[in-house]
Amino acid sequence: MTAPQFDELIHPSTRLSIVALLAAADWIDFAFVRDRLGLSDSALSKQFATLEGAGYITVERPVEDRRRRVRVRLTPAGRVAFDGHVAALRAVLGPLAVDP
Amino acid sequence: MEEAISKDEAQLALRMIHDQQREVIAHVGLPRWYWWGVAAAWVAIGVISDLGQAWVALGATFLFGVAHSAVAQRIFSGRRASRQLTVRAGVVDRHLPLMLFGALIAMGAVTVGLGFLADADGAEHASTFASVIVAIAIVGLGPQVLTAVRRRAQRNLDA
Repeated sequence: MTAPQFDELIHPSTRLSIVALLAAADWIDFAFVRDRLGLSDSALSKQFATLEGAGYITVERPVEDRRRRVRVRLTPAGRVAFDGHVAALRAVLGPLAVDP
Repeated sequence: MEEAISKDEAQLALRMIHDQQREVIAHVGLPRWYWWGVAAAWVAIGVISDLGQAWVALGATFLFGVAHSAVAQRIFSGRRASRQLTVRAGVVDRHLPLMLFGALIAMGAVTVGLGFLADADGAEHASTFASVIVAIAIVGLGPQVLTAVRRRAQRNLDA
């Protein structure tokens, strides 16, 4: 059971969406997140920079089929923060918490 | 700190998390070619059993087993290789490979049973008949199994 810990950095909707996607995956391609969230490259890069600065994600740039790709992963610290944030959201709902 | 946001906002945030993670879980599954490949091999073994000698059918079954093992090692995790993402291992039921192998063995038993029944009923190509029935079930029901696995993965994430 994760201790509730509201995280101001994760909570804004765009960053929450990014971290939620990453929490279910080992890694996700930059383009997938961009297309899924309907953001521009620069807007998404800014969000990634914020999350990377907090130590919540790592950004890798492997070369695949001669093309440089950008892959993003949640770090263990990011996962702890996300789990704590989810627990905090559930705590707000209290006993009324139901599956979305 | 939790009270800094309203219940509505918390509910909305949890729903958003659920929706985003559902998008990742949609990548859990086996490639479509797998089901068609197994079904085709199933029918082929049934036909060989009807036409060839017993050792030919045994050999074909062995070959299928070897080929299937090689493929299964790569895809039975349910985490389809993709350029977009890799689903986290803990999200998919770790028993999935066992479940799939179990289902395959059960299908084999059903095929043999159906074959015996058809043979007792005087069917001319009992093995082919039985294998076609099971092959249809594999193509029709196989992807449904993975739908159930995805639902379970979503429940795990929501828990």
